[in-house]
Amino acid sequence: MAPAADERVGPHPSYIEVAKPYILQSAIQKCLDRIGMSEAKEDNVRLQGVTWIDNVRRSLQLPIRTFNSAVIYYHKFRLLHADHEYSWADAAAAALFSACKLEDTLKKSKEILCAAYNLKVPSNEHVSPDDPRFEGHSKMVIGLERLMLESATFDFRSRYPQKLMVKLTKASGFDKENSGKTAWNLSIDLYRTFAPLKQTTSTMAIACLELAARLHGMDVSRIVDVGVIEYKKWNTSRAEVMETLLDLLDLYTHHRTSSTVGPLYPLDTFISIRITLNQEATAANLPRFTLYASEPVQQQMNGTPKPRNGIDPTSPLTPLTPGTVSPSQAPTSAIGIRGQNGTVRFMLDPKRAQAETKEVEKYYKVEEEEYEVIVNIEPERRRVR
Amino acid sequence: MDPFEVRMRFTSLLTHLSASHTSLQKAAIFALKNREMDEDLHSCILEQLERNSMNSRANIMFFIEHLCDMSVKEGHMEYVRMVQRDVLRIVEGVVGGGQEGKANVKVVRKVLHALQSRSILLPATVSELEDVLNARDLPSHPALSNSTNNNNNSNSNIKSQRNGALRLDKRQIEQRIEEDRERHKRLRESIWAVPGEAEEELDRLWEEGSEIAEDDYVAGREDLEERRQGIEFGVA
Repeated sequence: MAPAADERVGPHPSYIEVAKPYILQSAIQKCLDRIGMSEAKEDNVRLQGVTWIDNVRRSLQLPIRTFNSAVIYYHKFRLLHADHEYSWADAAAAALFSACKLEDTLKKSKEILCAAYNLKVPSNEHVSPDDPRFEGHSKMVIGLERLMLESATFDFRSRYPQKLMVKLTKASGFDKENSGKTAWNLSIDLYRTFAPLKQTTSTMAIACLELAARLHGMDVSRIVDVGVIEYKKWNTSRAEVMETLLDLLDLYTHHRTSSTVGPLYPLDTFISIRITLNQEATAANLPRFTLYASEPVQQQMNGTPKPRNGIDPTSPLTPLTPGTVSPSQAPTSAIGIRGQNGTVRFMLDPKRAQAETKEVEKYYKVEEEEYEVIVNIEPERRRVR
Repeated sequence: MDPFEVRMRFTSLLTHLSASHTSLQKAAIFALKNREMDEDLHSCILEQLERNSMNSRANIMFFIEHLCDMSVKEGHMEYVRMVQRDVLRIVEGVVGGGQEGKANVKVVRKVLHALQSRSILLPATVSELEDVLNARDLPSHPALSNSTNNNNNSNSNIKSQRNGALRLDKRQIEQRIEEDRERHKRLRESIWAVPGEAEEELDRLWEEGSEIAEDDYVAGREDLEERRQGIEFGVA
């Protein structure tokens, strides 16, 4: 029998990977579920990694925008790769390495590894970057760099909220040595959460500013959606600023000691600010997280959510895998592996990607129809055939 | 390692210094690691300054700057004190040796000013040393010299001297050009370098940042558009 359908074997339509400059909370949660990261484990790896990146970049005298980009790479990488495939320290080093290139503050991979090493040993045991002990690690980091770029879908746009934040704090009459400094440190802590993946630059800057004001007991009626900080001017909304504020407060209420600003205030301070904000959010019916257009709007309670930024009491506490896991090769790329069957293309414009997919699908979707045919049964003829 | 070996190793590190930051760092780390022998190692430095090629001496001068920095960071001030004590000898060593040494005058000036800005050398000391340098600078390059009279007669003598010296040092000159290039590259890197305490970067942005302007608003609008697109087309 001849094959039923006209099987036209054309070129593979290729996989399109669209750049996601903004990833919302629900997507983040789905990614982590997909790779089997428990909340506790993920928190741990996230906080340790960001602290590592911050300490090493300070020792290398790298500016904060390099820190910003490195942390974004680190987060995006971890959303796609299960943590048993790599050690978080290697990922952090590769993220910092990639960020150095992106932000034009070049550092060799060995310099990064050497700085990290020297931080852990007393000064009389310090080594220089060309020490042979960094040889193998350096190759690993360079191998991971490729995966970093793929995870970020080669999107090299970066955000620099601190610049805008300093302008706003100055314009709002903040005092550089006190509230200004707090706002700055809050912006560093902000990168320990997932907020930088979800929010625009202005939202982040404004949120840090507001929390600094609250911590210093300043009059918030002068900075919430008024004057210089009018939300409309900055294309943000109370819901988004609130989401970011709550993300920060989650960090401080659950992981106070792992942050920069946390240890400077007692836990109660953060809890009381949180209560005030929760009341405001409930009264104004603000959703806890921004939703995608395709997601149904559920009734989100502000008190009981399962925030990724905090500890979920119902998840079983899996024993943390020891940090010494170092596979001899870099993990297989979650994205590039599809390249074995077809090409993977990276695009920046989602509209274009969608239009292309629609167009291509017309040729590949097999349309089947079912209809009934009444056939007269003639047994002899059937046998001859 | 026994003292003799330490001296040998250190001398070798000094003679193999290049413009690369790693080579300077290695030697400095070694010096601080063996800080019990600081007097000895310091005398090694002085020795090498008086006998090596022009390029080597320039590299050693930069190394001294780096060593002082690291010593201050580690709180081991002996090396700094010895440099302060012997600074004249160091300067003479680097710029000495006739025509060759003159190429190092700029190097010395740079390092001296760097050390002054870090309060390792007093301004008075530095200006005294400047005088020494200027005294050395007087029989200058014929092209730079303003007074043509004096030079006309001695011109031919100087020229032949220079040609002789030049021919011998061609490779050194090329090496020096390469090393200077390397150093300039590193200098440019430090435009963005911020000291570890983030306060400095905050200060910088605070003082030097511009006022809020139209382009900030435009950037905000563009961000919003991008995010809206992400929300519209994205899937959880």
